Amino acid sequence: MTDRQSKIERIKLALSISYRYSRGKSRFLLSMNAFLAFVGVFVGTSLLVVVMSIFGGFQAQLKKSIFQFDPHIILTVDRITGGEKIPAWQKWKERLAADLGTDAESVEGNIQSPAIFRRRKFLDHVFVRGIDFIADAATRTYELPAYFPEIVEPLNQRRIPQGDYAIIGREMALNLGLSVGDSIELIVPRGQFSLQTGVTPSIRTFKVGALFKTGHYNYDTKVVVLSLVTAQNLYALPDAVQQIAVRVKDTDHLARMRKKVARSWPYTIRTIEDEQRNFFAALRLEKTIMIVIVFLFIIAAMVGIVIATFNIVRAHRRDIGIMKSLGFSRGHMLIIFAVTGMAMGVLGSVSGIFAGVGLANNLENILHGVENVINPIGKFYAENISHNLWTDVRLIPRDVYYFDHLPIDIDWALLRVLGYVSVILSVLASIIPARKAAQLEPIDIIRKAEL
Amino acid sequence: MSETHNAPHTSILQVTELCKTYRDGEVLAEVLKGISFTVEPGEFVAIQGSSGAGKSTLLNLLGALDKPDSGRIVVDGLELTSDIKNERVERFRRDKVGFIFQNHYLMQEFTVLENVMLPLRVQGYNAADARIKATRVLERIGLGHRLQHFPSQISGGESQRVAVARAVVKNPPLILADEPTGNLDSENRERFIGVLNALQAEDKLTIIVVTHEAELAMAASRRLLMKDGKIELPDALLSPQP
Repeated sequence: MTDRQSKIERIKLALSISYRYSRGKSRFLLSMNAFLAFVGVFVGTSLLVVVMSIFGGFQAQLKKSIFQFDPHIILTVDRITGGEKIPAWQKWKERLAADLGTDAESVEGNIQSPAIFRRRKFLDHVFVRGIDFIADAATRTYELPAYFPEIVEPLNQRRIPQGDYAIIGREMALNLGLSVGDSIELIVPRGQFSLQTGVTPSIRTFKVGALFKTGHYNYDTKVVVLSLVTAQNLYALPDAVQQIAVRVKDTDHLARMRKKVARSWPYTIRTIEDEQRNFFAALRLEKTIMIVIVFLFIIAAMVGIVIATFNIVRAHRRDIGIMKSLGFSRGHMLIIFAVTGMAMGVLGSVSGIFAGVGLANNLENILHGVENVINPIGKFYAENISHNLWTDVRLIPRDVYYFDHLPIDIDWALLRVLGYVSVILSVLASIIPARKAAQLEPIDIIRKAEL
Repeated sequence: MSETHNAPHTSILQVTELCKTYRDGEVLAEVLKGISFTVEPGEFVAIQGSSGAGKSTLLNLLGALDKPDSGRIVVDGLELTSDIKNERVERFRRDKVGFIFQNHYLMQEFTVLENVMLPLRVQGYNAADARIKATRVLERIGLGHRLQHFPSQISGGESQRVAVARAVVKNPPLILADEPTGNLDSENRERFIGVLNALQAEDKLTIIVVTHEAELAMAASRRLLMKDGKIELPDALLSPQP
């Protein structure tokens, strides 16, 4: 028996004792004490994964609606007003498209300007966006580009008639009781400003050509889309645009793309992140707060492990005395109790993560299942016992949340970090009581507790 | 602890001027006041004395469960001192002594066999070898049919015999027993003494037992009487039993 073999045997023994302590006298993998700590970590981590996934889903949906509808990089000639016209925009467009190559999804001239919206006596301010649709001369229609949001009326139609037609958001239509074919008026400033008369307004009537839905309430209530030609007429900007809008494929590296654009465009460049600075900052802050809450959650679960391991140590004080009197070292004691605690933490976190992912992926079905259980019972109770009317419970009311399905986005990178951190925390959580156990001496136990 | 290779004689245990004082706040309790004695290999020594005479403290020091304030203990050539390092203490406990406590103190989550295997596993034996040796000892003391039982499933007398098996299985130079029959009825006490005697005779074990029980003390080959932290009657006056 070499020294090395003896050491290995002793470590094997410590691990087997640790396993026995985690199990206790239970027929299952964990004793009740260890099981409760395991459940704490398991429930904590799985709920976290679900909450983070829903949260991530909402964020992703919001981000997507913005990235889908807004140009990613906006090129203007004047930083301050943002409204100077770009006359030879077609040339710029071609040059930019050539320079950006495959990085760009589209480069187009846009009009983006505020206007007053009037429908009978109702007035509101809106943003008019003139987009350079592809015209189909044969059918006298415009074809909507692929990035353009979903058309909900006429459902999924991707063409609108040429002429004075406007596409408005679904929410705006709902608020004002508008539908396709109805008339609206847009009032915009026109011509030169003069001290005597100020700015002459121009009023034009448009027909609602279609209703779009981005999923972003601000857009769906405030944006009126016209074809570029129509918008140019409205704002008296023949053959000019106010901005060149670039949409890129890689939206995660806008700063890099901005630099690339800067090589071709000597004037003002703004990215969607500059435009929506507050929105993105709010998203980031929300995410940071969420991550902090996540880790507080885990730390709370880890306190459960500390308590459970302390309980195990306390319940085995006598064993610690016996083992130390037999010559077990402090290191072995540390292994025995630290591994016991870690087993709970690691098993709890890993299975919690898997369960959380499973739960998150099926959350909508689960919620519908719960609705299907609650509603018949509630209905039965209302009709037969309380004699009231029963309104079906909807756990995700579509009209409130503005989402027709629960968005789920599982952030695997965050899950990996969550996994590492929970494992590290369970190690720390179990080492504290294990150190306590290792420091116990048989004589302390003999003298204090009569071993 | 240091190896003393050129020991002047072959004593398995030499205790010289051993002192131990416990402090409880401001109160000092001088428990051992300079104890000296030796034990030869194969001796069965009983230490007697009234409560508080320092018997258990002496035994704890001999088993390296506690450290002396001054004096010297040499067990089988290894010396225990007050400034001894933890690692050495662990080695001493592992290789030099077997302890039998008043209550058997078996580990409840382990079977009888696993309890007896434990000292061997701590020494570094693999599970298979330890199982063979532990089974052999348990069979010798008539507990071959209890191997897979848990301590809660066997009687107090049997548990105490398992504790003996656990102490002797690694064949240590010195076996220490603190009131081992204190909790046993007369029948089990007799049986326990029988087992201890048989093992001692067959394996030439060196045993030091602290006891109140006359019956157990009478089984010893030599008795020491302790009073007020000292050995009152020197070895010579308590001659071995016939």
